[in-house]
Formats: sequence, C-alpha cells, structure tokens
Amino acid sequence: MADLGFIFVGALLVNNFVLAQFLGLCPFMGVTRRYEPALAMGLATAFVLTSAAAISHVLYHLLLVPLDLEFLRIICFIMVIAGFVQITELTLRATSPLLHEVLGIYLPLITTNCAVLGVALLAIGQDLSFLETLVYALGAALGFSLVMTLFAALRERLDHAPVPAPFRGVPVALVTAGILSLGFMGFAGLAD
Amino acid sequence: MLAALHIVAVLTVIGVPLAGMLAWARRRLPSDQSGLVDAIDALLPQTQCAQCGYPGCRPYAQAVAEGAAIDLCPPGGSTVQSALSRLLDRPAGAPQQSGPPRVARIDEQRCIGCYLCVKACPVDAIVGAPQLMHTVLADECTGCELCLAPCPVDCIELIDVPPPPAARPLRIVARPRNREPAAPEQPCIRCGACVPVCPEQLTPQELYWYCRDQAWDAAAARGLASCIECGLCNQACPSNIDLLRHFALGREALRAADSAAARAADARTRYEEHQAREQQRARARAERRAARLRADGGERPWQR
Repeated sequence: MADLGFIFVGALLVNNFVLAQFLGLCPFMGVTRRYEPALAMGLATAFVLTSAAAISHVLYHLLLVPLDLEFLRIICFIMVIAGFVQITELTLRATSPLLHEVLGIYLPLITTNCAVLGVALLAIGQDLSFLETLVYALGAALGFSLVMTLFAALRERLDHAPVPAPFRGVPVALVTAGILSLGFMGFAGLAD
Repeated sequence: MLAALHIVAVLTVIGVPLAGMLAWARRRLPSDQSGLVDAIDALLPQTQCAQCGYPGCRPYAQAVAEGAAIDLCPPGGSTVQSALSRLLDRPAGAPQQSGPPRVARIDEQRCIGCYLCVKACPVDAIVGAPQLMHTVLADECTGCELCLAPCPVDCIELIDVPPPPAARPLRIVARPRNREPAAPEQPCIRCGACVPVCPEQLTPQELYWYCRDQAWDAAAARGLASCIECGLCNQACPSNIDLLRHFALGREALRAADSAAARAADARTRYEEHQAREQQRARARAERRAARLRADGGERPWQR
C-alpha cells in the first residue's frame, strides 16, 4: 500500500512530467493562455494518458513479450494513443463544440504529447505491475492537469500585471514556468 | 518469416478493435455544431441587415462556425470582430473603419405610400399604411440600407444620427462633513484593508485592478454589479485610492453593455415576428389565388 502511495506522489509531484522531466511542454505553453481551456486540455490528456498506459501495459505483457516482439512497443503504443485521442476528440466535439473549437489543433496533438508515450514507456522500463502502472499513470495524469491549471491561473493574473513591454506574453510566461519548475524541485526527497 | 507474420498479426490485433471502437463512437456521437452557432449568434448585433452577404445573423453565425471570415459584420464593427476573435481564438483582422451610426429618413413630401419599404425593413422600423405616408422610427432603425433599393421614388436617404444629449445619471455620495482635503493617490499595495469593510463581501482590491485596466468582464465576474457604492473601501484605503470613482465608471460600462444586449435581443424577436407575419401573408395570398382559380372552374377567359 505504502509502495503505491510513493509511486503516486512520485509521479504527481516529485517527478512531475512537465516541471521535473520536461515532457509535454507543447500544450503546457500552447493552451495555458486561459483557465478553462487549460483545465479541459489537462483533463483530456489525463484521460488519454491513463487509459493508454493501462492498455499499453496489457498489450506489452500479454502480446509483445510472449512473441519476442518488444522492439514493436513504440509503434504499438502510438497506435493505442492515437485511437484514444480520436475517441476523446469525437466525444468532445459532440458534447462541447465550443471547447473543441478553442482547443483546436492541440487536441489531435495529444497523440504526439511525449508525456503520454513517456508514461507508457517509463512504466514498462521500471517493471511495474498492472496496478502500479495504473497508479503511476493516474499520478502523472493528475500532475499534468495540476500543472496546466496552476500555470493557466498564473498567466491569467499575469495578463493584468504591469509587465514591461519586451517581456509581455510568452517571455514572461517562460520565466514563470522556470520559477514554477524551481518550486517543484522543493518536492525532491518527498517520496523517493 | 514467422516473426514477420507475428508482427502483422500483432498490429492487426491492436488496430482492428481500435478501428471498430472509433467507427462505433463516430456513429453514436453526433458531430453537433449548434452550440457553437448559438454562441456566435449571441455575439452578433441581430440587425438582420444581410450586409455580410448572408440572409441574416443566424445564417452568418452558421457560416462563421464553418470557417467564414469574422470581419463581415459592419453594424458590429470592431467590437463584434474582437469578441468573435476571442471566442474562436482566431486572429482579428485590421480594425474596421466604422463611421458614425446612421439611420434612414423618408422625405415625406415625395413618399407615395407604396408600402414597399415597410415590407423590406427587417426590424419593423418603418410605420405607415398603403396609400398613406410612411416614416422611420429612428430609435429602431439599424441603418442597414435594405429599404433604399425597393423605393420607387428614391425618397429614402441615410442621415448621421445626432449624438444623444449627455444625460448621465446624477450620482451623489455622502461624505463626512469635516473631511480632510484629499491626499494624493498612491499605488495599490495589495494590503487588503478594503476587503473586510465591504458590506457586500466583494474584494474591492481585485475589482479596482480590473476596473483600472478596463477589464469590465472580469470585474463583472467578481460581482462589480452588486457594489452599492457606499464608499467604505475609499475610507479604508491607506493609499487614498478613489476606488468609488473606478467602480462607478465600471458600473456605467456594464450598464451600457447590458442595454446594448437588450436592444439586440429585442431586434431579434422583432425580426422573427416579422418573418412569421410575411410567411403568413404569403400563405394567405396563395390560398386566395387557389380559391379564385377553383371558383372559375380553371377557365382562362383570355385563352378562349
């Protein structure tokens, strides 16, 4: 039980995929201009990430390992991820066309979000069991959503802050991301 | 050879269920665009003037949802354009050069009472009856120019709207009698001293930032509308900021936006009622014609 807790907190905070491992930076900078799209993007990615990691784990251990085809893992995982991204996009377009329009190209780009593939590959690299993979992926997914919402909230406030002209927009966002990353370094040693 | 077969088999095993799932999802979930169209339609001014090239505001909203340009609405001008660009996250084009608002005026000496302009008006801003003089209600006219073309004697012209007299509501704030002369305003130090004194449980400090930056929407979301302008935050502020003045300006802007929205909704209802009446008239005409044809047994005297 304690093990699972460590894995969860480790993926959520200590080895946060965005701010400690620097994976998935594209939506992190691209969709965090406003809070609601960032939250939606975080949740969509979280859904894809968790389900893809679980399915990938099953595929790897039940199909690829017995057949000695481990070298196929990347292409197989990408197929699974792409399928889940398509399902997410269809669902979102049916339930909230406005959000679909706002997220735009970033939604299909979840496929190439390296955090999603990264979680699936890292879980296999660390020889985690199915339950552990699930907890690991859930932690990583919530960590991603957390960072997205945190950063979007910060950027919304930055819009109203008196930022010097050359720093306005992306530059000050990058500086903020750096400071946020420094802050997350404070979690090191919490669960390792 | 066996390995190659295995590879094909594995990829098929993964691909086929995924494809099946996607096909099922595509069939089950309708790709519904109406929510987006509603949101766009709500931003348009509802003048139904058709100057965008589409028959009305709703058809234009549909076209925008499918990718049409967002800068085609002259009555909306740059306000609507920037609102659409915010909603759709598309770049706003160069701000349009919109002149002063204009309304139609009928030269009543020359009007022959033909009733054609009354039918053409999408917002029922022209009153009159057949064979009698017509006139334009300037308050309702949206300046869409749709009545100019039907007029057979060219007696309608567009004139600039005279600016309304500055009828701003009078605002009186009671102050303690022996108040010291106002000290110079200093920047907000975010001390939060104004927060506990607010009787409406607002955060005047945040409202002040938004009002100062003219972010009225954000201010409204934080409850600017429920400010009762009691002035307690002014007295609490150690930086001597005249918060009340900022809030009064903000509430003025919100009221202006509200009345514009109300006018747009009103125009939309009138347009829809107008359309319904036109259809009713067309149907009645067709019925009368059919009845007439039936009555004379389908005979055409001129064809005899």
